[in-house]
Amino acid sequence: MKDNLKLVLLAAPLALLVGYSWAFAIPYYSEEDVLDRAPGPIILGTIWAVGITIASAIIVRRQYRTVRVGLPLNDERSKMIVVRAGYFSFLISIAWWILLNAIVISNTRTFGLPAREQASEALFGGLLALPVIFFLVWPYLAYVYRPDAG
Amino acid sequence: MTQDELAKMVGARRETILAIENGKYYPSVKLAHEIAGALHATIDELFVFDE
Repeated sequence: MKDNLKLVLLAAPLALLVGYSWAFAIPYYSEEDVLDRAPGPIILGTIWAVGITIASAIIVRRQYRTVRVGLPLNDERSKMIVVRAGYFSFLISIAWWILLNAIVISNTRTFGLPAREQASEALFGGLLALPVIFFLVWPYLAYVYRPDAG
Repeated sequence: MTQDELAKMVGARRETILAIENGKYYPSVKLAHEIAGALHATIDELFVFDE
């Protein structure tokens, strides 16, 4: 596959993620006294959106420079990091899912939801965990395996 | 030859060449062979494996 196409396939979902992040955060800004009533969502939403925007910009800029000088976007080392990130995030998400289900089954925490909704929330939470954990583990492993590490 | 030039010749990223130079990554036999070819050397001359 051409590297330019790979770059587009990387940039498009990241742009979508940035768009979604701001789409969730922005509606809170128009509400009056939102910071007094419910500061959590607007603060966390804004931090998340800013973080995703900065991270996406850094990733796309670095990859664009790589393509521009004629180097490949992926090679055996970068693929090794992705594979290891997938392996670790899979294990962590399985543990997270078991923990979440154990909490729901044992009723130690109800999350204020009826039993049926609670089970579906646990299922959704488990599914959501894998990509979220992956996108946390991936940059961490890229840092751990950095080429100039001492 | 710069790291960028070598990376282009063997189809790898510059970070990979840097990691190999610093002993932080062990390349596959295929990549080691390509690097040796690009540098007109043998694998034995380029890589020393300590027991």
